[in-house]
Amino acid sequence: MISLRLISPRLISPRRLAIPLALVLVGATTTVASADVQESPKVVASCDQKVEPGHFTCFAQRRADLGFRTRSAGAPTGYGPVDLQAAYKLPSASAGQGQRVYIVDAYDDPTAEADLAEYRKQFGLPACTTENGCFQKLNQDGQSSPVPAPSRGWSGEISLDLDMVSAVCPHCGITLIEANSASDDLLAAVKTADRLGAKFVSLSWGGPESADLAELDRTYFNPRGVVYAASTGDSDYDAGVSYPASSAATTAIGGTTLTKDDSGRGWTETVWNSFPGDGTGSGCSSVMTKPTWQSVIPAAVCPKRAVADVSAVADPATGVAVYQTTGGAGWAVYGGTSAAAPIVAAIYALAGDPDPASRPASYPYGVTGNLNDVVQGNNGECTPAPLCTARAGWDGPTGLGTPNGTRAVTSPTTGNRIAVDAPAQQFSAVGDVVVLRARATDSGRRPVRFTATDLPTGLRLDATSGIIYGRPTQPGTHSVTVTATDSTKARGNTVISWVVSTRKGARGVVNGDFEAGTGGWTQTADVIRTDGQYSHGGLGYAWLGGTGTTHTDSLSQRVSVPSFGRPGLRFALRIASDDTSAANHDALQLTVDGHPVRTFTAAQSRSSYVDQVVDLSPYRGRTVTLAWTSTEDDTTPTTFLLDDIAI
Amino acid sequence: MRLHAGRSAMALAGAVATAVLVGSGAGVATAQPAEPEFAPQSIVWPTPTDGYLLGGVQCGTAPCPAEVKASHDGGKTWMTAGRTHNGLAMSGEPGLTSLQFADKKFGWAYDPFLEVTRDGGKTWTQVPVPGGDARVLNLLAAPDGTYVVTSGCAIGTGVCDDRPLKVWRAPAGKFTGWKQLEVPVAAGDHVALDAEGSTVYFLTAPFNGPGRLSTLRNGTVRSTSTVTCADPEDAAIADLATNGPNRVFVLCMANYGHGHSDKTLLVSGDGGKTFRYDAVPGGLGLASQLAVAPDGAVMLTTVTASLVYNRPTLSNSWRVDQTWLENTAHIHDLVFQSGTTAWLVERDAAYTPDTRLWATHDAGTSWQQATVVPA
Repeated sequence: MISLRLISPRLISPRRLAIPLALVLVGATTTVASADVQESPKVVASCDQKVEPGHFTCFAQRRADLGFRTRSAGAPTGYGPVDLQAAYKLPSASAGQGQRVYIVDAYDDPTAEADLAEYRKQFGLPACTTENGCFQKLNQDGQSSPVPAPSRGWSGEISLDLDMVSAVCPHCGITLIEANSASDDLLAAVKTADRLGAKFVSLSWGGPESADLAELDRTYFNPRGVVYAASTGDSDYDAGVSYPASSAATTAIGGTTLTKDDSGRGWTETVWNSFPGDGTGSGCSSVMTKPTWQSVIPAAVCPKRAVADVSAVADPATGVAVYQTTGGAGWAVYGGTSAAAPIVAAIYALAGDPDPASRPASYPYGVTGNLNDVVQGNNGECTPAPLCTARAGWDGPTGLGTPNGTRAVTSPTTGNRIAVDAPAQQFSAVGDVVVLRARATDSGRRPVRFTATDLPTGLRLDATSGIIYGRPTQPGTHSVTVTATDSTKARGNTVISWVVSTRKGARGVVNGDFEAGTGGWTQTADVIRTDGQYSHGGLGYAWLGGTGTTHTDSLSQRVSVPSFGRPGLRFALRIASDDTSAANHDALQLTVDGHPVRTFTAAQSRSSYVDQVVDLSPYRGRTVTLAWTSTEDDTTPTTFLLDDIAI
Repeated sequence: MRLHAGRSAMALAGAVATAVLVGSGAGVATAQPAEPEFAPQSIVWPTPTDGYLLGGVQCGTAPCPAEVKASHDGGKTWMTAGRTHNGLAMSGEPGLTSLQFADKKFGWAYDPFLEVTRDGGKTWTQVPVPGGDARVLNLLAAPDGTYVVTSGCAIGTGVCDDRPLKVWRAPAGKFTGWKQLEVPVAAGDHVALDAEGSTVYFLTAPFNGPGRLSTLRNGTVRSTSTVTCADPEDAAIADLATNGPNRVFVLCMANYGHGHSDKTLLVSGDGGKTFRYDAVPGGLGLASQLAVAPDGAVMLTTVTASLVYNRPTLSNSWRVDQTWLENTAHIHDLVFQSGTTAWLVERDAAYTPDTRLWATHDAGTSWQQATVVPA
């Protein structure tokens, strides 16, 4: 049975296709039976595939026919971590500790961390949060704020990338770098990843080749010691080669259709090609010089850089489970070569550090027999045929094949490995004296030099000792990356989530007046505001409820209650509702370690803030979680505003 | 107290302007003959009690003479203040379409011509367009002066070439002494501006792409920043408003077409350096005007589907009431009079005597058609 899809630039609707049988056969990857042509799943491209010169597009495709499934609708469909780890025989349970995969995408996904948490929780993966130092979200300058404008389309791409890295390497840290636009800003973000000390970078986007690619390569990519896994595109061979997949510095990642079967491997893979114009990209660069490791590809087939190098699952029909709430509404099934790139980037991370002197794109060519050779299918018609037709050995659509363990992407030589150690979280107040040392361990016992990005204003780093010192001068929330580099260019880094509170906001809690943004708090979406519209003082405040729907908001922080005196929790609270009667059941509950200690209702509505005091004496000397939770029904909205929280 | 919120000025170009004009044109075709009477066109509230209306008398004929009415009791009654020299302008024609007052005496009628009053609308003086330009596109009567955006393109020619637009400022209370400001505005840019005290926010944006927000004090650019809409690859900036120190609101729409758009309200507490993005639920209508009350109540109008979306003060919940309009007429001049009272005008008086004035006294929960009751 053939699965056919007709793709328009962005929206792909299910249609019966009037395609000549020859074309159907070209598109067929399994048993062909023209009489069985059926309406196929509807697929939506996350990003507009029409790309202006100098711009890039993402290569994510979502199964529109499956829609989104809410959390309560049961287990998600699509391949999950167990499937991917089994299909590619990955040591995910034991490898990846201390590694960090960098994902470069365009625009902001405001729910990236929350969605990632849901994905990992669903599949039993360890939590990866800002708080525990695993997750990091940065703008293209390497700062935690301001983030770019949100994009629903690219948020699908970001969710896909985060989930795929999590599925393959659950012990890896993840840094998401969000570029301001899908143009040269993406390349600037790639350069930022290198500046941060990235070793594994996933690039699920691309655009047409232009004449200046060699210059772009020199400007933005580090050819040695950094893995760049770049998708080859979703529009078949005919679309031409995509950059940066055609970069000499990247490993070009093609796409397959991955199917469970009863073979010895337990899986079968063929070239992903749903129908003409919708399948993995491949080809021969018209610009980039052939890298030496591609000598296995005859010049008659491609005299320049040939694409792809390796491949992984990309067919939406055999797609992967993804959780997405920005531009989506829960569980979805995704495909596109955007799925394959983060999978391969994360497999490189499982394999360990690249030798800083090596070229990671060459690894798969150095050791044969450690990939699943894909020998069926094509992504178009071309001459010479290997550029678009699967065969034994290298071919354009799938490269050398798909991962079979990590050996094919393991550095053949071993360089120095540097581990950097520092606390995952730091809390300071404006004016505090700060002295914090980041320690580096170099396996080659060489001295290192430290650099840091996104340090709070007023702090400096001593490049030799790794000591961060000074007095922070402004409240804010920062994501500091401390990188250590030795003379062999080996490098390691660590991430510190650093919250600088105002003096007033640091009374027994972190950022109690919310002037430092969201730092220190765990919140549901958009609870903490910094517009000053309804603050008790300054710009920051917390807003729970006010939706007029059945809705719950929460705000919490883990705090240490003093062991002396009579500790009290103080905060300013304003309640606003048009219905202050007993019939309004909207409420705000304050809990300590889950135990309710105070409940506020709409009947306590006031036109201004009211100071509240709660005795914490029963919790003296303990570390407890303070949580404010609002519950609303679908009648009159009730708003609960909090500010100036202190102990 | 002058109510700055919602008293923003805006020029639309390209498809959005086309949509507005098509809406107005529909008004011409469907207008019913009516008794010659005052037809409101533009409304402004320099104070909560002092309001002014620019409108037409004997409209439906060309040219439509323009009259200014004043209310000094919060809109309960209106008296004729005076008449401007120019009549109301149809799209691409000479005349006037809009009104603004800096206080209860000093005001302007404009677009594309320019007239000024210093006595609460009793007498009007024609003012040459600054720099000898052909027309006024935008005007903001801010506390610290009057800001005007002009075009050298002849009336009716649209964007006649690639010549940039010019921005001018005259000191408060003056209609001479214009000085050109160093604010670059491309020929086809959208322009939206609003003032908070002596701070003027000036936003320019191409039809598609990020906008440039300039913060001015006394006509001098103090800072600039970039404003990027959500879903920026297919988004346009529609309007800007401010309602307090450093608090800037920008209305955007994305994925627009067929009378629908994804609307987003950008909210900044740091003068436009950073924004929070609040999605506005409901796709119907193309985003047009934005008004924000000092206490945070937000309203926005749409064109093609004539709707007013509103988010009351201290609420996270957006509402839209589409039952009170005929859903095709052009609605414009959305303006707050106070924290809960706002006004708007339905249809364009240059085309029909049957324009309507609407008011809400509960921040947009309900709207009533307002009558211009003689004093």
